[in-house]
Amino acid sequence: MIAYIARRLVLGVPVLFGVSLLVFAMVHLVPGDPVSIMLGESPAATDAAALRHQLGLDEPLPQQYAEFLARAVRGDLGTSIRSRRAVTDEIADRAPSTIQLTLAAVALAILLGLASGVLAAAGPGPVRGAAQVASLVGLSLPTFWLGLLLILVVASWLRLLPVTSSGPAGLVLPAVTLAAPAAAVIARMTRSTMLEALTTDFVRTARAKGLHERVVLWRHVLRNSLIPVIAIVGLQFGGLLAGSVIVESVFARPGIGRLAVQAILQRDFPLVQGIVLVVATSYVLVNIAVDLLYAWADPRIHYR
Amino acid sequence: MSVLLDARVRRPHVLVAIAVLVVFALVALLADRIAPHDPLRVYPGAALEPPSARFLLGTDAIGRDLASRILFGARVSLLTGIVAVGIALSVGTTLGLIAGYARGWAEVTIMRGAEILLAFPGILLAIAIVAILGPGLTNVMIAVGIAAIPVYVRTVQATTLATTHLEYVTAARALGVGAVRILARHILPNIAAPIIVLASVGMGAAILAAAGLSYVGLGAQPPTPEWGEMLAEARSYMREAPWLPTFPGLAIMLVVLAFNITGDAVRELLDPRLRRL
Repeated sequence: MIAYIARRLVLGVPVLFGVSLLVFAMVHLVPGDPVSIMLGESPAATDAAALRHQLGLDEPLPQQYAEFLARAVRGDLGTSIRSRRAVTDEIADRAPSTIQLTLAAVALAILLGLASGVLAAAGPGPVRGAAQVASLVGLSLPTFWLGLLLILVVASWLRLLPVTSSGPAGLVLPAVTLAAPAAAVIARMTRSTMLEALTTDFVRTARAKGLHERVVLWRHVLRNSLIPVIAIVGLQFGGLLAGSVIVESVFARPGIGRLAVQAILQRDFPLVQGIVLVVATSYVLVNIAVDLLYAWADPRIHYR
Repeated sequence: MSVLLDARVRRPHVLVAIAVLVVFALVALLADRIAPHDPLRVYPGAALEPPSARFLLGTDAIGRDLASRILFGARVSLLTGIVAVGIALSVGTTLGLIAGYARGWAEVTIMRGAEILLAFPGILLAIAIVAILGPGLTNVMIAVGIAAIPVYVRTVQATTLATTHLEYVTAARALGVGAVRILARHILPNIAAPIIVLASVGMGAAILAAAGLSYVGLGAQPPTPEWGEMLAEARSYMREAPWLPTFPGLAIMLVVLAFNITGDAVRELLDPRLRRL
């Protein structure tokens, strides 16, 4: 197991390396001169030269990348052009809000997804159909629209929950909104793996020896269907992290996603680069964690 | 046409989905003929009017006809789907074919590149590309397309790899057929199924992603009649005018739902692994 963990971590290194190279290249891929785009129409020559120097754009490319990487590893992602604050500070300020939202949405997506997936595979007739329709609709719902409708109906008309508040009540609507598409994906996966498990020999055996259908379903079918679902949850985690960009805009939550949108609109490249690097790195790390969880959960990979 | 006779296609929800897509395409093509008003025309004194005989779906905050804007929005959405999927499909398939057939350094370079791009979750890659190109509708279409390339590369490379060792490819090579001709005439038609599945599901996903980017302000800018942008404008007025957020969102959901249902049907039709289930 330890060897597996080590190998998995080592495999992540070239990917992270590539991610850093791509994030570094962002500024250089900008059509035109990034400095004049960042400073607006006609910047003073001294300002442009100063910014060029601050960003290290006046050095040879390999050296720029080496310095970018060296600084990033030490936790220095540069300075925001607009706020003049350290990019890491800007991100650290907004991170708790996004992490809260993402974790709440992951939990909700797993709960809703598993429940409706089980119902779609083995529920009573009409419920089965309804659960399937729900997952298909969930997959097609624009989160920004779902969010607006929830604000309108739950917060404005019924006055059940606040739209924005720092407390846990303010987290409910954004989390539901963010979780909906992920729940739909998890439900579809759960349904198809359960349907497959239902046709296996061990289920026939369990039924033949007279086990209650409920025991067959929960102990034998569901447990064996969960393994591919874990992999999907890992992938969805990244989708949720990126989806927070939109949900945070809908609910005016001060998170990383909204920071990213503002940074792009203000052409604040160091900040954009920092956010992309941090989010992509967390995604790679989460996926490594999920792979390890997967190995732990699947007795065929890790057998005692 | 025999496809329409297949039992997997002739289910009511699949037929409805196909009908929705046909209507969507017609509306997009004929928006200027069927829209009751100019989508950009402001009717002074008619702001935030509820749906009526004159304004079928009501008017927005500055007095533009919502129905006409939604009809013209179909044009933007269809174009987004076609441009984005077109980019992903053409570039992704080409790179995937090369990686699967050429092997060696070309394969390593392309597949490593795809792997790195796949390390960017969800729409983050599209957002990063918008950051590079700058906000705007065209750039969002391009960004959503580029962001989908790695998925095509991976799928096409895997299926090409499996096809390359089949006898008919070896036979073609033995006859002295060139690599380009083998890829285009012998391999591509035989790996078309997964590509078609990716494209049909990808249309809905591309439309959804682009509308989302327009909603947060990175895509279509006012006064373009784009569904995501219309929802963003509706946000401040939705308590007084609940029809404003309702209809554009409904339009997006219907179209994406129709693409997803059709994509599922196509997958069932073409994926031999699902056929036995």
